[in-house]
Amino acid sequence: MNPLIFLWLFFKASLLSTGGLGNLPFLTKDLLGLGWAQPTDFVTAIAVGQVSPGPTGLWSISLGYLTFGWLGAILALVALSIPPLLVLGVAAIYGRLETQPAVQNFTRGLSLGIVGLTVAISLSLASSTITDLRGIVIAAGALGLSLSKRVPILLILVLAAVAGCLLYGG
Amino acid sequence: MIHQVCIQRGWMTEEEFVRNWALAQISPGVNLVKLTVLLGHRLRGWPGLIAANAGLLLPSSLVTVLMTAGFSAIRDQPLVKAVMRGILPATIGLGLAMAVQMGQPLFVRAVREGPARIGIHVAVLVSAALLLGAGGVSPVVVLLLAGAVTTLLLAMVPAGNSTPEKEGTA
Repeated sequence: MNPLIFLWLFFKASLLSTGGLGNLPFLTKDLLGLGWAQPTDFVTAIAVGQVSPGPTGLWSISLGYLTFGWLGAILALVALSIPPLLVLGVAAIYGRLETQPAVQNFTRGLSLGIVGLTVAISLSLASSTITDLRGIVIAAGALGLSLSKRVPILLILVLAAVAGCLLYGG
Repeated sequence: MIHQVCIQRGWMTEEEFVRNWALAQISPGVNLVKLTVLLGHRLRGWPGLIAANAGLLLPSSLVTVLMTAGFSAIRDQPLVKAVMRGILPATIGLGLAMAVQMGQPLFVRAVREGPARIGIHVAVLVSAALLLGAGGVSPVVVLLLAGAVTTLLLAMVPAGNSTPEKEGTA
């Protein structure tokens, strides 16, 4: 693995996404394509990102560690830290463009695209992590609990862990 | 939490905070990092920016890496495997839930604008998912296409709720 390319891929993913798991489509395509990461690395990193303190977006630091050790984690952190500085520039010009209908519609299209990509990625990762009906039940349960907005994500993951223990442990 | 501290200590007004929050949503990078950039810069200039982000990123990144490392060390234990077989499908469910939550405001707005625009939204979303999932098209291309196509289609198809108003005034 080339550290510079590794840094570039993470940097690009951060630069082209707007937060949370937005960088996931880029990283899955690039890293899986190069064979630098396994599908399970992604799911594990996302789980750790949800559970660990701080923004969920830090999941890619976990991915960096899983695929490239401490160096990978540091490179991922550097890549995450730089693009957000652009927000200062966006803040400066947004006031002027905000009211243009074309800009608003473009933003809506981008958001729709991101939703579509998130669905596609979730389903493609599902094929490597959900192996039987029990997995589907857990995924559906997590989806439902999360949409109810009454249950914190951490608790959902704890419940899933308990479910895993009970269903697969014995 | 950030919200509470900023308001309580009188660092900025509610309105200022919300505007910064909105800007953070649309520019590249992790949302919380961008928000911290804006707030730190607004309050104390560049030193504020650096201090605020160091405060946000360093501790949580370290914990994220340590959790990943800890997990890598124990991931072959049978119990841990069982737990992960519960957690991994749950992250898929959470990913889908996130897609639903991101998509919801877009569709709420489209529904108000009439069936033609709902159709556009569904078509863009499904095409984006298919282009990445089945077509293997680069995420950047998918997002730019989604933005461009939506801008074009929404310009051609006026919002449904504005038509009756026009007829009424004519």
